[in-house]
Amino acid sequence: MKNHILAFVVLLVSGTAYAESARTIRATELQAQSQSDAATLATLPENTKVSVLRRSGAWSEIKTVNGQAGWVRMLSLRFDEGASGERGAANPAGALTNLLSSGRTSGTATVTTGVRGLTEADLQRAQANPAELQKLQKFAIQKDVAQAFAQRTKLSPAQVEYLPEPAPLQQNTPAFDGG
Amino acid sequence: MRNFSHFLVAAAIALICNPVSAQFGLSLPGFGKSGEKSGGFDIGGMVSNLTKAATETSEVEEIRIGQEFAATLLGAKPLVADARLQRYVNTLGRWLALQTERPDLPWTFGVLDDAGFNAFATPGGYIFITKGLIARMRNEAELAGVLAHEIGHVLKKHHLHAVQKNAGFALVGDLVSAAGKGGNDQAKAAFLNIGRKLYSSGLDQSDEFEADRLGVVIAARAGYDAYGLPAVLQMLDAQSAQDDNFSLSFKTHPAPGKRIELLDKLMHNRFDALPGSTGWPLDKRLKEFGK
Repeated sequence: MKNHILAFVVLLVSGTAYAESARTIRATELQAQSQSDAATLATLPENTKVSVLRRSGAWSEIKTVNGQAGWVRMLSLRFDEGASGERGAANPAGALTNLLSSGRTSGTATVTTGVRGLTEADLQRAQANPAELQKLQKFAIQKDVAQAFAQRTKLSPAQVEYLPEPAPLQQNTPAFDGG
Repeated sequence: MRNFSHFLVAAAIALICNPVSAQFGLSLPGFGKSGEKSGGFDIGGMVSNLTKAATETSEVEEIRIGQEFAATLLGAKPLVADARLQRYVNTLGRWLALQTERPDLPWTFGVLDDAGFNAFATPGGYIFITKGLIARMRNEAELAGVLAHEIGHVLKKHHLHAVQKNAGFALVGDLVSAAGKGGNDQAKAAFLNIGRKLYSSGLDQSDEFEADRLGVVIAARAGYDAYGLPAVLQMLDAQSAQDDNFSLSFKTHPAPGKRIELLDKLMHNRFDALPGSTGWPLDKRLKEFGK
């Protein structure tokens, strides 16, 4: 069990190294690289079972059971139920608590919240907690702190227009062309 | 501003519907404590001012209502007692908010001590994510995508509009002035009830779709991989709505598969040429913000 938690933390920290099972939700081109002008290696039929190795932007690197390997559009895939849940089953919040506890200085032991997530009923009977709100407000930061964060992370701001509102949804109508 | 006259009506109706303040409705003439301060808030005074100038825009009122809702959410779950994590999420969130048309709101971000998967926004720029959500993020771009979706709700005032819409506008005149004359405690009780209802039932699906559209763009503007949010939705799509850690999120949002489908069509290849970053790993951030 301890090993599982450790493995999860490593996974969480290393970010992209994971393999999960998924299926194609439509006929999908398998490409040599993660870009649309790369060579097409094959066309995978709908519902092809694949292992997802990693993601890069809009692309996922995959392997099929037949040993075909390459990149497909990430959103052409649907993960099998429970695939990502394996991470969930390892009690990820508990694993995060392990990661967080190393540098903890506060003695206010609010950490042990159990495994059950917030429910509808919890919200319906919530009482206002103005003291906690005051605590929250102390964490707000100034713009320049955020700008320094972006600089040292080497995040390059980009000019991107908001996406248009799609045509009104209608039943039994062919999909609109989003381009 | 129109929004706030509507809000008054909503508040007034909640006062009447709430069993405690039903009495208040009956004993209205006895109330004259408008503007009384308590606990740093002055909703009674705020409501009163609104009655005087119901057509004026007020970001101040939006923010105060957001603070009431934030206090309610924090009453359901407290903050994680880790200053590093709270500072980190505030800094990332503030950077994202700077990419929007409302950069000067008092943007404030909090991580709730909850194992489940959830995120909330309240008017004025108060945004919450659960610890369980952070634990399920595979990289910083995914977290940025979730925060940017919540920022989208604030930009479009989805929660304010939802309250106005659900409360209805039928009984305007008298109720508005009744709320205006109400004491601080009654107004707070009204907002508590509104908040409970709003956050346990969720927004309209169209608001969620709109926040998705805004979220991917805000993340991309901030220099992150725009596919962070779609990747989170893909992970959600593989979860069971019966799982306690996901059930509230499923109940209050459209099906992840539908959200992905809509985003996919709109995103198409628009973001392919951007050098979107996946950001830094969480352990590195915790060290960074521990200094």
